[in-house]
Amino acid sequence: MSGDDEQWNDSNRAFLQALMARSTLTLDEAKPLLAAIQTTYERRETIAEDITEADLNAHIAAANTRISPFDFEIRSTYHQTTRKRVYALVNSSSDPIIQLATIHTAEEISFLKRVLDAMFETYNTSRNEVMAITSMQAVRLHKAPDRGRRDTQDGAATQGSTAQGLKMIEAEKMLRTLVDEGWFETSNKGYYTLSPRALMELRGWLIETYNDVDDDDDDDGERPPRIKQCVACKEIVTVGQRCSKRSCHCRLHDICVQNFFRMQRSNGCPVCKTEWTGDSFVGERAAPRRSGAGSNANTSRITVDDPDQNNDPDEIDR
Amino acid sequence: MPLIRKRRSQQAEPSPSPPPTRRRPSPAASDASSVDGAYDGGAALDGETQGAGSSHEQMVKKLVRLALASEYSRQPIRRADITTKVMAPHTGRQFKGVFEEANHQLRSTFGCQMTELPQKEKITVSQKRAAQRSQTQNTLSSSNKSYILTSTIPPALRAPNILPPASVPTSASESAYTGLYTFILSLIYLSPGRTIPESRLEKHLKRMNADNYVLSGEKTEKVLKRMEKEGYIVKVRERDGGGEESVDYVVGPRGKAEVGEVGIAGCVRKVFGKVGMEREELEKRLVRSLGEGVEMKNRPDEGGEAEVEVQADGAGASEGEAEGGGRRRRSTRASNSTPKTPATRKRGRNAMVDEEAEGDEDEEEEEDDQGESGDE
Ligand SMILES: [Zn+2]
Ligand SMILES: [Zn+2]
Repeated sequence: MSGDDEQWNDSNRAFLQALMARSTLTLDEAKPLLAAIQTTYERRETIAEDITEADLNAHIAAANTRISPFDFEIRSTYHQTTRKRVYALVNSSSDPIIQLATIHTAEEISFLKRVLDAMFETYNTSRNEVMAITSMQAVRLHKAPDRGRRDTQDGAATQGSTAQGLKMIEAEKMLRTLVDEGWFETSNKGYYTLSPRALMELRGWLIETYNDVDDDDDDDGERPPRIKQCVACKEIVTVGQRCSKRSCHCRLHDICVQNFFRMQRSNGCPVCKTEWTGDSFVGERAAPRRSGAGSNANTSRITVDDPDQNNDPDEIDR
Repeated sequence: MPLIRKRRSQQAEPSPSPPPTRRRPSPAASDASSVDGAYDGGAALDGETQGAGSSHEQMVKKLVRLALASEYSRQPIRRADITTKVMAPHTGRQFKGVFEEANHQLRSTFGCQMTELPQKEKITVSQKRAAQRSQTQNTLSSSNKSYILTSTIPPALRAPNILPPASVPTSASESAYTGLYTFILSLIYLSPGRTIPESRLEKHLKRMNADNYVLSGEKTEKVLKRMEKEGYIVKVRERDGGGEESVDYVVGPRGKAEVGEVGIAGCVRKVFGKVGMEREELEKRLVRSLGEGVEMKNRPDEGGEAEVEVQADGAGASEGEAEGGGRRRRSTRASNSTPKTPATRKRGRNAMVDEEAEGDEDEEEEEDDQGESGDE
């Protein structure tokens, strides 16, 4: 079973390597890529405009057949804001966080987990479903939480297993690395969000991790899941719109709204029938505005909030 | 597309398969222990629970995944890691079979293979000379062996418009880095005795305005250290009879395996791009300096030798051109996203002095406090 066959030859391998070398691929990027591969492999001039979405999909289908035994899969999703379709090679079986551990240190992974917890717990309250984090908020999580640790800070004689956290500068660097590796994206306003690729790769993990409601939780059940899916496309919503009724779990991507209500022929929430006003948001637009703060007026007065208060889990549920 | 669509909707089920690490949704629980445990053990690369975990097939699959993951972070695949992360207990004797089958799978599916890295030579005056003459490696215990992935598809299919420089781990600066080490390796390869005195290297770097900072804004000194650490180059200090210290650079094991003579020849061809008679002259000189292996007609389309064109073009990138499509987009994004970098860096340095410094006042107009009540 060696060598080339009709379905799998060096042009396919070149495509696969090209895909693995990038964190994501769009059709616009795939066109010149596949044209270059065909030109070289078939010794026949092909221009980017000749490449169709069907060509790309044929390549992807062939690749998926070959790579699935290794628990890899090329998936695609729509970017939540640009609506561009994005393809990426993702790990289909194992815990992606553990995968990341092959590249990063345990301390870096712990920091990443703290940042994810902040995105999906601390800054994802029923009032403010931000699901994003500013770099300042993230860097503040550089240290491992104190709870459960004895005073090991000073003196190098700490047990090997004790989490020390990262230095602030290391945390900043890790954030940049996560952007470079294609896990995070940054918005114009400086918020970090999960990239489409991360959402594809982490979707199972996110749902498993953050929607895992403790059965005998003190509050009377019925807590909405922290990770919610778009009623139109079923993908996770981290940027989009929400039903104006706060207790309703219905969410829609901005890019899905128009089509959805046209198809539905009414602009009521599909779950609770409340009118869909389109001005309740998920994402950085849901971040609370500082009362009365002009954009530059009192920057010098901005106080540092107490991270411990923010971490209060009770805050999450109003 | 139907295929992908279908798979995606299957994925939409909340839990396709229970991930190995479950954690309680409390921030305090996010300690590293679960990751630690799994990372050290063989489970690191396999999300499934044991069972078939020890079968030959499972080990092959794990090794393929380890190899790809390591290359992704440009870390060598260490024999010791294979032993702990891939091989089931008491299967040491199957190593060869597993390794060969994994390499076969890597070649036939992914178009690459694990190539053993030459061991780092112990370098003293005489050994250095000897090492320059022969390419032979010292025999070392097999547990020290390590490998990198090298491509087995024809170089033409790895041209930069197809395969951009690795985007991980350092993104935008990566092509500059690739360019710089290829350039430095060229200097070394083409110097007498394949050794370049530090002073001479500095002169070359100065000429391309890279003596203090390289393109990505990193300190040259630091970048050279990284090249040393990753095994592209080796820094050799020695004292001659008169007690005078000399510092030279020679080609390191990764430099040999990943770039090598063929890569250098490709780079030189790209840079000089001669035609006709001049081309012939150039080829002759290349063969004279680098050996017959680099002759165009002697180049097999496939084979163990690593990167050729890709590396060569990285050299172009170091002079300021961005690479093709996807690459360029990513670079732009990276630079857009870090306009604050210098400031952040400075802040970081201050922070080292005073870890807990609430030096955040200068953090312009951060919208913040999402966690706090925030009345609307
Ligand atoms: Zn949607
Ligand atoms: Zn509703």
